[in-house]
Amino acid sequence: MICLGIESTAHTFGIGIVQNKTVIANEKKSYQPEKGGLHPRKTAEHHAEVCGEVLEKAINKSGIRIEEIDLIAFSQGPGLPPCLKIGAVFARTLAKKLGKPLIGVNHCVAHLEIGKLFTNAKDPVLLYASGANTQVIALESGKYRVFGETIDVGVGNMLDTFGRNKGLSFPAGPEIERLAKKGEKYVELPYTVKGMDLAFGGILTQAERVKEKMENVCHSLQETVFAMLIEVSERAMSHTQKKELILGGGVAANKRLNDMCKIMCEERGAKFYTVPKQYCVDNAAMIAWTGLKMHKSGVKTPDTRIIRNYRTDMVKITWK
Amino acid sequence: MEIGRGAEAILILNNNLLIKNRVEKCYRLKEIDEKLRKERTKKEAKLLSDAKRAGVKTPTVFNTTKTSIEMEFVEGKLLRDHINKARNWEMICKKIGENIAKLHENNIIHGDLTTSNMILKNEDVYFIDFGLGYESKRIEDKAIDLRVLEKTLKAKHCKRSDEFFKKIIKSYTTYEKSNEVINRLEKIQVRGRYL
Repeated sequence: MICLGIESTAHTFGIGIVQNKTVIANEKKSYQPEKGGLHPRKTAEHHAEVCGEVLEKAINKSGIRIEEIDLIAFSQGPGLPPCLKIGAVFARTLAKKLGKPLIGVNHCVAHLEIGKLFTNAKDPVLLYASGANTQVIALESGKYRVFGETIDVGVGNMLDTFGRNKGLSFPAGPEIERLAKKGEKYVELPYTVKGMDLAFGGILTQAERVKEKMENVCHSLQETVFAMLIEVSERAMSHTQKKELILGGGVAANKRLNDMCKIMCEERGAKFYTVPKQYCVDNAAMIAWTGLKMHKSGVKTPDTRIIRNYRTDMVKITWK
Repeated sequence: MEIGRGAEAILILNNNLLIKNRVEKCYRLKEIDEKLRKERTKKEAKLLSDAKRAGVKTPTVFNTTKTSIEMEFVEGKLLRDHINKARNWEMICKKIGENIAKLHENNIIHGDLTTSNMILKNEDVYFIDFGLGYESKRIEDKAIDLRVLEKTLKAKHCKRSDEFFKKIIKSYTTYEKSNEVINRLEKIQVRGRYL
């Protein structure tokens, strides 16, 4: 069975094709503003412009003919509504033209599912750290429950905002990581774990204010926010008594965060899995893969309108 | 004898004396690690005693060091494993609500109200692990305390979490400012992401 997936929740427009358990294409184009953050409408305009081209590339890469596709999946939410709408319209058109079923996928759930595909983890806790999302999720009574999450911005968004205000390029994560390596001194920043939830706003303000060498601030910033992420992940693992951790989302590209996850898991006798980078960041292969799994377990999407605030724990997990 | 290992501490039982030792976490920077362990240990010991004085059942603290607390061992059932099958769940929820009311009346915020941190012994519900607790008079902080409980109930005991939480809130109203806190809780519920 072949499923074509469409991703368009934020700055990435992607098309991925999955045949049974193999990804045969995973193409994308990402919008990068000249300055500042993402403007939803402009991002959507970008997606509308590149969607045909990305489709063509994906089909060429996969080596199949477009008629061979059995199913169309698209990211239904959460995300920026104008961007989601482009993906949804594109998906509906394609499904209609090919006469194939259409299935809506939750973006966050897809991150977890693709992680499971590439790691063979059976019942993991996922630390999903990206620009827009920061959640610790795990399966409990038929749903992926959110055990802890950010109560203001995503951790990636916070790092980007810090970088932008300090004149670093987008995405600021890699640059902050490079600078942090040269940092030697720890500057005290707020440590804001509230129960199982996280807040990053106060840390951002303080990191911007503090008068200290950039290298040291980056070092302290990374150490503080990553320690918070790991602490909440560990608490979720302890509470659910699960023994596997997957790290996903764009921030997973950070080496230091990976190392910290690894140490934490070693210390508590758990297994740590990483996902290849192209499947950590926003990608469409994960939408195709999750769509395929959902379809096989009998899920249908009668209402294909976008759900901008589609929560992880709204999805009933009927597949394994 | 080690009898338990939570996310941040090891529990050692020694002749009815429980030693909670906050162990070093090698994943985080030494400065952060030491600061958190020391602060939380100190705070926890103080809040355990304060809470007891406020009329909430907590283990008695005998001694503390920089990163460990020696306290009474409460032999009972962890509510995390017990509440779903408990026949007297209404009584348990009532006790939980009353305990939170007493804490908040004395401006104690537990900070980590989950069923993993509550023990049922005979007819009493003991609250443990005040490591994330603090003192505050703010309605907001008290409402967040309840919000943490609501969310972990939903995550862990999803099928019956609403029943449980309603019952808890009902007995929480013994706290005179409970109305204000509950109103604020409703505001916090819609403040989260993607609601």
